[in-house]
Amino acid sequence: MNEDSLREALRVMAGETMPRPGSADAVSSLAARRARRRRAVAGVAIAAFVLGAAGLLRVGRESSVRTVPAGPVEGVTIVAATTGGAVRVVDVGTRRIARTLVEEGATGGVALSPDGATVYYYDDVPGCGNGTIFSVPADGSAPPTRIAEGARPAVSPDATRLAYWTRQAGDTGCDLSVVVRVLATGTEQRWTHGNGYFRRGPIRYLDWSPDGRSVAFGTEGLASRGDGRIVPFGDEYVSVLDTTRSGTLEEAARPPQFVDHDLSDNGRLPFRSWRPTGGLVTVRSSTAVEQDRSKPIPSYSEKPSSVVVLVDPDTGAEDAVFRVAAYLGSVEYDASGRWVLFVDSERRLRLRDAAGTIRSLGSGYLEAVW
Amino acid sequence: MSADEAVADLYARMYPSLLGTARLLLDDTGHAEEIVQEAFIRLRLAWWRIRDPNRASGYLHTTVANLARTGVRRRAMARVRDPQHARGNRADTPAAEETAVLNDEHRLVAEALRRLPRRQRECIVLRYYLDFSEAEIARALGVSAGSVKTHTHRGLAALGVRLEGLA
Repeated sequence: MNEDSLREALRVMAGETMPRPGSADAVSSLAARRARRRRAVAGVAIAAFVLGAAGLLRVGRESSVRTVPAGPVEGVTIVAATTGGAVRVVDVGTRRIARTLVEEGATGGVALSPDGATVYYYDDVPGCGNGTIFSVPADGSAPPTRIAEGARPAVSPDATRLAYWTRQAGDTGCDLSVVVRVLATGTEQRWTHGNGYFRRGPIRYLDWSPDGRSVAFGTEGLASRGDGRIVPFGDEYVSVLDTTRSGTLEEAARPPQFVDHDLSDNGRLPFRSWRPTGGLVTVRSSTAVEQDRSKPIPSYSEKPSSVVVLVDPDTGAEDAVFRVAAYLGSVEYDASGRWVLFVDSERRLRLRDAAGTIRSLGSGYLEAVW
Repeated sequence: MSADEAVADLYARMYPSLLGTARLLLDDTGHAEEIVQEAFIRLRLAWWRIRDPNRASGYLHTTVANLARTGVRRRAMARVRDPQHARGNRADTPAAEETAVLNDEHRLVAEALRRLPRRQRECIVLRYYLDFSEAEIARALGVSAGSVKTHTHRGLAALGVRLEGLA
């Protein structure tokens, strides 16, 4: 087969179908309806907030979930990726969407530069392919720019480097690499797995240490079910990569010293992020099964529960912070180390403030960052 | 020209090629028209940012490719989660074969195209159906020109290997 015959084959396969009469008008009316719906949803969120603040609307069953006056959250914004791949800037105080930076493409997640000026996002690709990492100004002043093929971007605390990971088909299956790029020059350093345990991949979460020397990353652990909910799956492993070292990933990265180190149980810890004020943010999940005997045929229901635990990377000392009645996806602390953004298994984006109050910022989210 | 008029003009000009692209990228035909319609709806919603028909063309091709990719991935996940259910819902023939009368050679090409990895398939379709340059493909897919070259080369090699024996 030559190129011309391939072209011919594709043209025949694609067909030549003209649009149906009136379908162009349908585009305009459907777009207008969707825009109206978005404004209505934002209006309902505001109304719910107002009514909740007036005590007229219950916002949740958990006793710690309540609305509070805007107060100290006024003007605070976060960046969030939706399950549909959109990237939004959300006002925490009003829970309104301040702007949508991209409509699609962030099906993997988001990251934010320390100065809050640049958003990074990427799409998620199953198997051994790579997603694509893009950057876009947080003020929406320019279109997205392609950065790299890979996933899980994270900007160093000094804003000079971008860490991410890639995978590529290799002789032994899917090869895993962690990459650190100097943003100003584009030069990269790469650590690729050798013959050790990092082959198990993929990396679920990746984050810089507060001193900018190390990158912690967690592998495996979570899966999305058919209905989009997050459930724990398999074992989760964390390792800390010393970016001042070279060599293979096994040579430069280690599970934290306090974790048992053997080939079958390396660094097992459900890692999510590195708190800016110190501590590995981890999640311990459990599932209770309750039986309902009131019916002729007993039924069973799952009762998930998760505890967010801060772990000292050097000593392993643990500090259980709070519990929620759900599985948890992303968990992100703000710069003060006291406010927490998290997404639960129902894809609800929630915020826990310094006083321990948890409020909902909306549903249909993948993850969010400060 | 108003936004609605601009989008309608693009719709009239680009609909056939975008629908053909979607058909070539998807495994089943039912979604091709939905995807193209969705791409234009998103264009209309984003028109305040785009405004330029040349940029709109790139936006539409990128959106169709992304939506086709998402659709393929969702159906692949459905097959992983529930193979029995997914088998019942899967179309019996690939999208491109449903509305075209294909000879045997074209049928083999269609089968081989369906087996290509996603990126290779996208590069082949954009290169040989839409006659995009490497740079245009790179922009549409958000990858480097080097990646486009690699994926295209591998896709052609894979098509050539699978179609061994044909002229």
